[in-house]
Amino acid sequence: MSLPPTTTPLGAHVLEADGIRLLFGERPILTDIYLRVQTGQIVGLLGRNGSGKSCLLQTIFGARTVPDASVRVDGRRAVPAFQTPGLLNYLPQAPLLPAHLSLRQAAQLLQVDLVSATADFPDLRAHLDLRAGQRSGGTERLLHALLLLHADTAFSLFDEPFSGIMPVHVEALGEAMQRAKLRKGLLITDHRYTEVLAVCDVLYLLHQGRLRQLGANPRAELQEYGYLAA
Amino acid sequence: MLGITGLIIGCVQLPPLLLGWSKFALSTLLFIKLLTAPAVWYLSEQQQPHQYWFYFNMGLSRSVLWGSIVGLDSLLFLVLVTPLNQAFA
Repeated sequence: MSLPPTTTPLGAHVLEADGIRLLFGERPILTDIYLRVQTGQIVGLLGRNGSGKSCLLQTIFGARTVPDASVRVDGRRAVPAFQTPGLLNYLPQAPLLPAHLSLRQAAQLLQVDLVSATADFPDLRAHLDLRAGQRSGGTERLLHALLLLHADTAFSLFDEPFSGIMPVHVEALGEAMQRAKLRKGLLITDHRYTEVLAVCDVLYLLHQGRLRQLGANPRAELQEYGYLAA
Repeated sequence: MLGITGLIIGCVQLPPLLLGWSKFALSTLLFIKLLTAPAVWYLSEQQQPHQYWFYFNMGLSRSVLWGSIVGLDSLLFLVLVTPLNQAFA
């Protein structure tokens, strides 16, 4: 399956996921899920540690097989989604690149122009030709996030994109996401909730296996569900 | 997997050839090689569980990756082993 021709205005696409049920032993992790992301949106996914945020992202991406999981793009089933060319990419919590692959090789394979991807981060240019072990964890994280953000996909799923990145770069990455959402939909999860609340158009809280869309006052709801201190 | 290819050639195929003993049939060597494949896969999954993420982002599945590796590795194995066996025929 290739990415279906768009039926929404301005080349927009809609990614929907539901029917995802996941148990770890007897413990239900995901039970009642409906999630929607569309072009032009940054959707935030918050939840306590172990609530299943990463599992949900991996299931939508298609790397985790869950029976009856339904992932649809513009109403058409796309499972596993990562095998649909140009549909979506995923930044895992683990390092993205295999040890033997340089950043430039990875950019070439993903057809990303590293110069334009790092245009807002001139201090990163000196790090592009270093080997993975020679870059700091935060720099590595930022470069991988930029690589996928600038890749030509309709959606990007980012698992803790701000983790380990210094504040000035977090702010710039947030701005880069705002620009990227003009051409793609973004689904991000991160415990740096201040940054998540600042950049997201739609917020979900994953709580006891259920996904709840937060309203106009997300902080109060996050306190109510025990994600933020009261 | 390339390391296993080297080990089989160096430790299983070459010694009997160099010592003038009877050589292993190609099918036997290939069978030994295929026997090691599950162990290589298991160790790879255990030691590098995150190795797939980049390839998933390129749209490649586990089965495509492993199928390609096993296919190419078996081809390389045959290309290396066959001339050696013929040289000592």
